[in-house]
Amino acid sequence: MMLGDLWKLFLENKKALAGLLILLFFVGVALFAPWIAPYDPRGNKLVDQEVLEESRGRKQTVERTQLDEFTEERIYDQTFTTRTKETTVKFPLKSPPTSKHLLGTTHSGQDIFSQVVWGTRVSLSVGLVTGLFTTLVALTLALSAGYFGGRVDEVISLFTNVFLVIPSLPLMIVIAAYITVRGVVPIILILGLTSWPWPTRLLRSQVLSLKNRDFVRVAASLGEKPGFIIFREILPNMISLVMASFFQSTMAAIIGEATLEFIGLGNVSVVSWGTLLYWAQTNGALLSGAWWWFLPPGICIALIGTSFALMNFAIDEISNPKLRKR
Amino acid sequence: MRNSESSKQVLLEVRNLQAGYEVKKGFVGAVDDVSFCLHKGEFLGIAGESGCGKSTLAFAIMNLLRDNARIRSGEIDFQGRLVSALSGEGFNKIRWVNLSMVFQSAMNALNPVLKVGEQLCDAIHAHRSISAQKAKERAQQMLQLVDIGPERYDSYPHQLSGGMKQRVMIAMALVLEPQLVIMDEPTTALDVVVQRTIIEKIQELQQQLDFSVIFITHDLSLLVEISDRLAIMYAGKIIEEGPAQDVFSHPLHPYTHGLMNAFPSLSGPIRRMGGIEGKPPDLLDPPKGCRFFPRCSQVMDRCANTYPPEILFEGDHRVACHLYEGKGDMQNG
Repeated sequence: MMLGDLWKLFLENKKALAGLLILLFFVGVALFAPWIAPYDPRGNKLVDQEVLEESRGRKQTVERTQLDEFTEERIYDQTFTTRTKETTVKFPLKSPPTSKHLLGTTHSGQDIFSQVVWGTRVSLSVGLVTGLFTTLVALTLALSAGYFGGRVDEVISLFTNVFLVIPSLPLMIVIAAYITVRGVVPIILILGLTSWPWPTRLLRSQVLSLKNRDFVRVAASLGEKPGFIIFREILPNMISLVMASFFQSTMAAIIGEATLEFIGLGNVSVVSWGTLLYWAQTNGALLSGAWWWFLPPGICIALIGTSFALMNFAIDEISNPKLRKR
Repeated sequence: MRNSESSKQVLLEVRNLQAGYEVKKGFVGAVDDVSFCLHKGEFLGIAGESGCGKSTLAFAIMNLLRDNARIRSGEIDFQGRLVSALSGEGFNKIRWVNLSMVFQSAMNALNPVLKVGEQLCDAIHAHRSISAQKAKERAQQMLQLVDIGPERYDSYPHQLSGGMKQRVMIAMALVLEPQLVIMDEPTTALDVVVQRTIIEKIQELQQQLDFSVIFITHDLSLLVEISDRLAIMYAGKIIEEGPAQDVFSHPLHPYTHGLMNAFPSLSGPIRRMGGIEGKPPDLLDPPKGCRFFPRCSQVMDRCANTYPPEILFEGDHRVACHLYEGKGDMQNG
């Protein structure tokens, strides 16, 4: 019932709906990439094979065996000849947008539109997985630290503070440079490892504040169990903050991923918005004004950010009954 | 006001309770050597100025003292059971089931994101394992009892007025039918008219459901009208206690005199208001003798050095003041 209400409110709110539609659009692109992208994002040519003629040679019996009174077995040799036409169309290099290549091609002739489409998959999944991971870690730590206080809080706060003072981008770069395995999973781990302190600190302070509100004290004096108090009394009051930090960490992860890829610390053979920018940069797209190369990934990142921002506005209204329009 | 029946059962007995706050400079004895008795179905009013230890007393009885607050010594008997010796876990079993509390600020005592009905149900479910349907019926019944329509079950706290929220809190305190409800300034944040309706509601419910009430407020004129018995607290001590009418019409302690002059009565004649000079003592280092002597108009030499004994007058009216030494009807043992 709670979820149903939430869903309805989400749909009634225009800002939220716009944000949701943008996000769903990108999720759709990511899911249906093979059907949307016209070409292989890594190939630089189109190979077309056509069978012109097929002919069979004569059958020749080689061996004959009588198995029993009714069954006979023969083995034949036969030859087939096929004539095939193979057409290879090489894509132009560094082509501006054409009807065949909506966003032009790269220095080695790969179709940029296909790369943007396929890149959505990696960028979005890295963002969402990291965002979810970060938020869960931060929320767990914040709830334990804030609610139980004392030693638990001291230990968690100590680690949070230590990680907070380490600037996360250089740390990310250092870790990425030391990790020998290149790929998406290490990037998720690096991003997750460097992004949890801020939301933890933010959420912890909110838990602390809520824990000392009168209604939580009343709940405690009523004899409600700690789990019940945490998840029913405290958590619903900070949903907007939790969602905000989810959007924030997801966005930070998408940008962080693009950053790491851009400076070449990711796996440059993976197709993502970050590597797209990396190749655009290394091939002087900015200097030659090849906007079709470096602009689309940037616009996509910006659109995802817009979508989260719009939904964030709405989450406030949705999670706080006071702000709801009647 | 109900007359006292001859054989009343003792519901709550507080004996020599000392409670307060541990601070860097020492111990703030917010409740110092307080003893009183509450009978079944009785309405006890506790009055005193801010910081005299009224709320500390209430929280000590409810075993809800937090952080640096603690009970130093003394005993609390509830229904013949020594509840002050109970562990936190043990007290959780009787809190709200047998004794509950209405907190000072109803505005903040309700969770803003949960419907009020759900919060009542949560209170029921915390102690009784009954079906959601039954709990909901009970919650709606309770809301009706405090004159809130059952359709308000689905309202959020911000959709209710201050008075309604306070009535919801009263319903919340009564939902498990406790024998004792402690009300800690439940009407302080409300205007006089709403105060009146709430007080009348409390009295009506008390007669209907037969529970005892400890009503804490600084509003003495209010207490005089609603209480069976009245206790006056000053600087952590109960300085006078007795039947409300008695205390009102024949205040014994000079402090009570002063208080009676400081509040206009809701229904009495209009007269010029007096006041009490000075301010209450520092509880970290209270005067050795009577706590009130620096402000007392009838101060004597011994007031400064010895705490006055409790002197019992007819009608169970007791006072702690040197003025009445040897004049009591019965000597307190």
